[in-house]
Amino acid sequence: MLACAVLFIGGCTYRVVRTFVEPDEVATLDDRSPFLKAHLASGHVYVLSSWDVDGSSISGTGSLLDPNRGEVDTGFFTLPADSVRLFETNVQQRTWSGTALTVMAGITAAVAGICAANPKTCFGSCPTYYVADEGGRPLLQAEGFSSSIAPALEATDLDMLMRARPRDRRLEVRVTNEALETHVIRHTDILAVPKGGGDRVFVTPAGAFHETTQPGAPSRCTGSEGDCLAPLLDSDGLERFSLADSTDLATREVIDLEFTDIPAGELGLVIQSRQTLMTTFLIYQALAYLGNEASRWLAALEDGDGAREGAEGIGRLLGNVEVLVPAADGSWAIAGVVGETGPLASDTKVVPLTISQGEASSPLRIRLRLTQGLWRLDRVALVGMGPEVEPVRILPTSVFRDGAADPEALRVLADREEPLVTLPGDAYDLVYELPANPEAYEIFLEARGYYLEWMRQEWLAEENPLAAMMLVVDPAGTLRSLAPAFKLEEPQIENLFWNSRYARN
Amino acid sequence: MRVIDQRLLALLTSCATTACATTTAPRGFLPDVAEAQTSAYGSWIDVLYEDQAGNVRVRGELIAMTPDSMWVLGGDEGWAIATSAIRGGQLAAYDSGGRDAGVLTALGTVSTISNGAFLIFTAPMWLIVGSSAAAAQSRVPLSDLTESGWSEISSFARFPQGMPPGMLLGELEPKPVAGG
Repeated sequence: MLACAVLFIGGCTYRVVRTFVEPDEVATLDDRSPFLKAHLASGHVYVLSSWDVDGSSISGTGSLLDPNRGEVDTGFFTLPADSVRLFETNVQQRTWSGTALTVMAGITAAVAGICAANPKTCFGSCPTYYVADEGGRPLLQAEGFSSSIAPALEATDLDMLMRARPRDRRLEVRVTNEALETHVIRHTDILAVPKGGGDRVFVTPAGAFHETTQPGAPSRCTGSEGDCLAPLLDSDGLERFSLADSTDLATREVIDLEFTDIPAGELGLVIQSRQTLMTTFLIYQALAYLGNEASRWLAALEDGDGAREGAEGIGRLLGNVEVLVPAADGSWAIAGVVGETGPLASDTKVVPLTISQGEASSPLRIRLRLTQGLWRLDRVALVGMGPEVEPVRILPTSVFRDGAADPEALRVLADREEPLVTLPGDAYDLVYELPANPEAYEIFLEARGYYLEWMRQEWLAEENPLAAMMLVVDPAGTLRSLAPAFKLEEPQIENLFWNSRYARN
Repeated sequence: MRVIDQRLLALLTSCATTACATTTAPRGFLPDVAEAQTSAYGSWIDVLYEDQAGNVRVRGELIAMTPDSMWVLGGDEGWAIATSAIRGGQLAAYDSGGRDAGVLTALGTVSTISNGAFLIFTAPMWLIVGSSAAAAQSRVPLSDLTESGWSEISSFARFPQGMPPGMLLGELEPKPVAGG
């Protein structure tokens, strides 16, 4: 379309600059004009192409027209300049409109090219959920089942709507398909969890909801770059991240935290994080290597054979964010792990620590161990763990599409037997009725389903069965061999990401 | 967007061309930019002049123009008008391509679906820049009739050299218009 547009621009955005020359000035005729008109005093006119000036005569091929513009003669003419009353030349000049439209076409083509090369930077991923923030503005607050790239990987995903602030009992959630994907959504429920006497309710990686108290920011943070405290203090979109290792994408790093304000009772560490685009790069690279075999391989996941093992191998190597606490012997012990696939919306979880205030000496030291260049950390906080609380499950009461009620979509989201299938560009508004006094509840979104990536033509060019096989049999080696390729794209991917709408959430 | 909705395209085209200037020329009368280089006919002119009966509006092909007279041929009628009586009007030298630029703007706006999330930047840019460009392009071949512009106006007459000696308006045939 853009190529046609550029050609189209060429034909419609010019002006004609018309100039007249007296017979005694024929030497000044503009030779850029492809045609020359020679107006005679009688009203006749010669319209000549391939014209030439030779001293005081003009020659060219064309027509002689009478005053009614009927054709009198055609052929090659030579006429004395002084037999002509007035010469006319016409030159096309591009207008600024043409330049402006050409620039716009160029910008659009350039962005389209970047998006074709790195689709996830432009198109988002998985079902994306928008919920109004404190100011009532739609905010991307959750992405559903990001790692479920095949029916066999269908999963339930739970996301805290960290910045949802419902003003009344009506909660609106917009779910969109912004990628070249087919989304199969089994359900999208709201889980409202009573806060009780706590500050906020967080969910553990195991899915248990806990009241929490006395959230405290770290007093110190040390990473590979040195001080990393500032980005981790608040849930403000300012994130701490690092760049991937240039030789092995599985290379790990550590972040050492210290807390001086230690809440009472059992402790937990709240981590708000999301992934960088490394996972996206790897999924796309895997599909590109598989090429025409991708659909067969995805189908093989259903059979539970080695394909699933292969698919999960790289994921295991990359791992999640490990939370470590000091052990009695001075070493570090893993208290828990946290992390969700997906680069768009931050995920917030609380990891129960195996130590309590009574056992902890101030400052309390906690270490995070994570794959270098894979995670963006927005906030880390130490909290007091309150009692476990049960959520209230709320199903949508109405569904709208393009502003009109969609009872069929409501039915399939409610009955769980048939999924809601969405295609690129689809958007549904789901309406939920919260319990009375909604501000006393923490809001979570639970989505179940899977999605199917659409194969892109540009991926097929990279089909490489041997490399695809190595993904399965040697995931560690694959992460090493792909490191240089990812490092080439990493700065561009990240810049695009930060300049996209998602990065501003 | 699975299917480009024709109504959306029409709406975008409409938006993009809302500010475009229009002419009263019959469809098919105005040559495009390429044809204007070889056309030996005069341009379309819409003239408001004052005579004893009041203001009169005439439209047709500009046949000739001198500092004191203008000759216009409209269908089977012709008018010789004193320039001192002209109160206003507009000359359309050729087809501006402004509507094409509007269609292009609409297509460009739709094409930003290839820009993913960046569409929120590129689509408004297309609408703003494209609409402005289409509006500006639509005015390129138009000239208002003012006394200071007679010379420029005359260059788009059938006879830019002036009315041929002895030629009568009634002897001239109007420009044939396809379908018109």
